[in-house]
Amino acid sequence: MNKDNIIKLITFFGYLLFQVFLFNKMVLLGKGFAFVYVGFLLTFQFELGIIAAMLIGFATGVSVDIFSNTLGIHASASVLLMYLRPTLFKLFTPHGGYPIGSKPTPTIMGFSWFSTYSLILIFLHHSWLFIVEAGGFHLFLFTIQKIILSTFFTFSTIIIIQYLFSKKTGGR
Amino acid sequence: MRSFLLFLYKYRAFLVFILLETAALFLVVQNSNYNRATFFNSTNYAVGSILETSNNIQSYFSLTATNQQLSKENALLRSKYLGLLASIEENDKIDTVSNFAFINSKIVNNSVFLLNNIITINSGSDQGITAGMGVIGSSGIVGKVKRVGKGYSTVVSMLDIDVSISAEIKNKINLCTVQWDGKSPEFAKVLYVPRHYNLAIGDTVVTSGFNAIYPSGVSIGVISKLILPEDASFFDIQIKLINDFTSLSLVEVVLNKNLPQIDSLTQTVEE
Repeated sequence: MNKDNIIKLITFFGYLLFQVFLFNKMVLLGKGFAFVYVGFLLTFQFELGIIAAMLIGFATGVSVDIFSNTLGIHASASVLLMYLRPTLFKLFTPHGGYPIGSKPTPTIMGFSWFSTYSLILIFLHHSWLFIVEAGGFHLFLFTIQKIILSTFFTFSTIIIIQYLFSKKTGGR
Repeated sequence: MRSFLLFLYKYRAFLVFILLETAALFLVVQNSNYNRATFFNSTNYAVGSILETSNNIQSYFSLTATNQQLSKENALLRSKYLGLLASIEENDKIDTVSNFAFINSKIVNNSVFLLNNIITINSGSDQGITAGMGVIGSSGIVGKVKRVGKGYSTVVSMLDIDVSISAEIKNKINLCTVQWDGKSPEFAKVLYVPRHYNLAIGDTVVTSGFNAIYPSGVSIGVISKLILPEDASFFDIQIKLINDFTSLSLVEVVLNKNLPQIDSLTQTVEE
């Protein structure tokens, strides 16, 4: 296990701790959730293989699920996110490609690139998550409100965390 | 064979995706079943104790509120006790309440903004809790035990869109159904009340005697909104829940001493 993996593991527990004990209890207007652990999944390096990525997504999702008693819901949304990630990388390739070994963070890729990339993925993740939670499309209007409010709440917290912690380690 | 393997290899990412999604959705479905003990929930000892530590820290911040709540409940109980003392002397009737025992317990984790909210409490099979028992708070009903671990149990909160509770409106209707609509943790709906009843805002909704989980007459809420659409056959009733689910901290698990007897009777009837 090299240094990078150890840092990633510590980061994982950091995110999990924040998610379970802080952000799970902060809900805006009863509808806006901040699933900050998504930030952990979004900022894996570009070269990460898609199968490994999905397995990481599944494990992260299940960990969050165990603590929130929502078994399977976060796991399925996270697997979807990790599956779609490479497609978005392809869509938004900058001129000259991606720098080798770098990560999709706002400090490396720039704010506007990161916000397009992350807003799309967060939106899809949350849509999947809340539709699975509702068990279908009844309560549709309520679910839509939850999705939109939560997307912006999650996005803002991820951006703040990225700018606070990503200087030295290149992505917390 | 070769082309089949090539096909598998080519679409391996998609196949793994389908596999993992199936696994996750299987977990979702399995988790909504009662009674099936799985390892991955907060009745697990490790998860439960981590949540409890976190709650122990948090509960310091709401000590004043909890104390006030308890002293209020004390006062209420004392007034009831004095009333009962007077009536006991008059008649020796057997009270249905004596069929129930209560196990007090503390909430270590709670959610109110999901659609299927789950509460974790810090007592389990060691304290005599079994799945299906009712849970009531200081002022009204809270939910029903779902899974039991050694030292922790999970409770399906009343705030769950799939839960319906047999209720009555005090002095007016002796059977109706209370269900949460998933929107605000403060309010719930009363369903199937025909339009010929004469209801008013402020009427109290309590549990009915037609269930073996809760004692009859435990408060659920107070009618806060009453709409009777022209063409509807039922009232549209909103109640304000008596329990404040966002600040709930101490609960009692209801043990119905007659439950085994009731169960075996129902079984004989069904056969």
